Amino acid sequence: MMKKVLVFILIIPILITGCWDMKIYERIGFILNIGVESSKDEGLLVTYTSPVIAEGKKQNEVELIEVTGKVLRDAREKARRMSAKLLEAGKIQQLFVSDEYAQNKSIHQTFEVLERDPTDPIHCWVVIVEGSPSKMLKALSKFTDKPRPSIYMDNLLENSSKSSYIPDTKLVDFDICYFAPGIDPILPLVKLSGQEVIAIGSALFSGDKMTGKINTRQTFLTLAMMGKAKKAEFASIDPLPVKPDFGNERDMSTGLVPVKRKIDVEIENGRPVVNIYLKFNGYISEYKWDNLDEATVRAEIENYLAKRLENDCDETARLLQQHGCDAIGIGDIVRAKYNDFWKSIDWKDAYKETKINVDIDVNIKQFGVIN
Amino acid sequence: MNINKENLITSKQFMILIFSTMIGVGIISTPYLLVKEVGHNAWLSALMSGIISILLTIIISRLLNIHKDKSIFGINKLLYGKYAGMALNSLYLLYLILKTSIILRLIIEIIHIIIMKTTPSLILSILALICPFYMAFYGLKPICRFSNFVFLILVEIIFLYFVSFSHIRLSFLLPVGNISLPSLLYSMRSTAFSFLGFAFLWLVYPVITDKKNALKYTIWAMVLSTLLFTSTIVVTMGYFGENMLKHIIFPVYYLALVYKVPVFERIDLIFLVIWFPALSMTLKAYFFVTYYWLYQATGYIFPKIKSNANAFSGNNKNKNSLTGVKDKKKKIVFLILFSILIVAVSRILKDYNHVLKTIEITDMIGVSLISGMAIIDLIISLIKNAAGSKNKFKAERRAKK
Repeated sequence: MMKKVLVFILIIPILITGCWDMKIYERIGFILNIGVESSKDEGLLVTYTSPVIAEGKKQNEVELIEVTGKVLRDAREKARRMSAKLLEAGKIQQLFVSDEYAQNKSIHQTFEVLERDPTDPIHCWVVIVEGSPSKMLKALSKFTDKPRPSIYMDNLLENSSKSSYIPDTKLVDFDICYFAPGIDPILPLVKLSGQEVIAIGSALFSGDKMTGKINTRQTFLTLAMMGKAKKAEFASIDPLPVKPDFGNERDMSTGLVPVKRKIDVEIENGRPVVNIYLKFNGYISEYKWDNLDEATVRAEIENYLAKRLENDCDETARLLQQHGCDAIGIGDIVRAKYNDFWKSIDWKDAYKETKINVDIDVNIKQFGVIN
Repeated sequence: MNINKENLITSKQFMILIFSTMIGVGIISTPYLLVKEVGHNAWLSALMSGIISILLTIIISRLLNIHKDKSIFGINKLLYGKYAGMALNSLYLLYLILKTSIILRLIIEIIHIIIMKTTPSLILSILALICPFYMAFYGLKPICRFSNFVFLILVEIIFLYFVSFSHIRLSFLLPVGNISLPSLLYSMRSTAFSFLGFAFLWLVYPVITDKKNALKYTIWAMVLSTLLFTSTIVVTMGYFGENMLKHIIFPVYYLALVYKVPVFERIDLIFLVIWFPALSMTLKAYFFVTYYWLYQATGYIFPKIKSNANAFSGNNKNKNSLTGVKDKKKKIVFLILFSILIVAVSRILKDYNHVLKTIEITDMIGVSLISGMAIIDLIISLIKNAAGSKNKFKAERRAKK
């Protein structure tokens, strides 16, 4: 009797497993990219790409579906009616949003569906496109000298973020910054230029609205001030073309790696004063023959670079303040350190009045195999 | 006292049982409840809950030391008499039945939310109960052995926290202590679902072989659980921040969703594969102790199965009675009836929110009942002990005279 009961119990799972939530791999169309922009009727124009896997098809071919909808799920349901396969969002690699949409609508609300449903990935890239994501995806799908759009874009974004040309901001990172009082998100910014997609810097946000843009160098300096440029393993700035007046003018390229960041916030006369100290290790990659083994020459270069970076940081910080984007998280430090002061002010206003001082040290560590 | 070998466990096994029971379901749902209550001070609440639980464990251990080889049910009967004791025991059993049902429903709802949206709850309930049913049939020892699985989960959690470490913003945990003490104390009820696991000590004390080590290992289990709960809140809070964490109902799982690795891409799927057995650890332990004591209690109420009940607890003179075909049949029938009861009660709850609201109520009952019984029982026992010693002393003096 006992054996019969046990056998019966053990058979149950075999009989009933997978009856309800079954998904057959071959019948699923994996959405890899989503492009979002405003449609003419004030709704969403959504572009999906999904790999085409069939006999006689090229490896990098994608199915491109363009639909309109009020919300993302509405658009997906429409797209499902057009696709041969059941479209699923579990493998999304990048979300492309037009700069126009990001300036006028809430990205945070638009992509809420991806955070609510655990089958959707929250570690996909959120990228702002200068222009139309639909046009970009259409162009990408036609590139014959590049891999599949999702792979090409993933490689491009990964490499660019490793070099600190763009921030490494995934969907979940965007929401963390959005929710945190006193921190604003920044997102990678790209544009289609002929037969290429170029990483051109960062889109600045105040809350969930895009308020401005910065270029790749300013992105690197912003990331350095945020303490996140440490992720860059090697030369992490587009070459610094400086012309130090050492009697022999020559452009110079230097790889910079931030090795230390210290940020101190104080309240002086009811106004936050921020002192940021950054230390970079420099690697001279291109300059002129001779002299770099001399300490005095290196010191002059170090001072020159430090001064120049300080000016660039000041300018970048001013830009961030102008656009109301507290990407560095100064407000978060004020909230944590001066909680009573934080409660007594409106940070959005106080941030614009905040004084930000940047002090930079550069230490030339290497100059290659010639002096 | 004869005790069936299947139920005999060592203090170390008991430690692993409590630890796995506490973190199994608790660690996935408790941080959200705590953060909703006290925000970024949630880790303080977890830490204080741990300390208070350890103090209550010491009280329970003292009580059990006074009444050697007795469980809380035996102690209640001894202290309050047959009827009052039975009434109190019935109330506690009712609480255990409710808690087991809630745990079952909570697991089902977690599975519903994360992976199986459309599979009916009833089917999932049957599937979830197969393993506890099977293990309960063979006794506490296999359940404790299965609990060793918790170490695999520990490795997984430590790995997850380790990779998250560089992303943690300490400012998200600041300012520390900007909360009133009453609010902090009140918030501790949200941890009760997990931290009441220490009460297992007075439920399985009779079957622990090395009782002198029981307190030490129970405290170890509590310390480990407290550290894990506190570090979970620190890591998830430092990663997501207070405002976002208030919206995330399974923070630890959500943390696993954040990462992707080459080849596998999404590590949340690996996380789930390892985590689901952990969820069932809590269910297995509660399923067993509730079934065990309900079986004992029905033995007193219905004399026909009394012999069987005694056999289970080891009071039967026939050591082999448990292996007897007749007893096994009775046991299976009882287990089936008990499973139906648990599933039926769990069906009363409608959805995840309903489960959370019910947990709030049952935890209030649980905290009052368990801490009340522990403290009052100890005071009465100490008074009775003191009175007993005095009478003994007088009797000895009279005898000398």
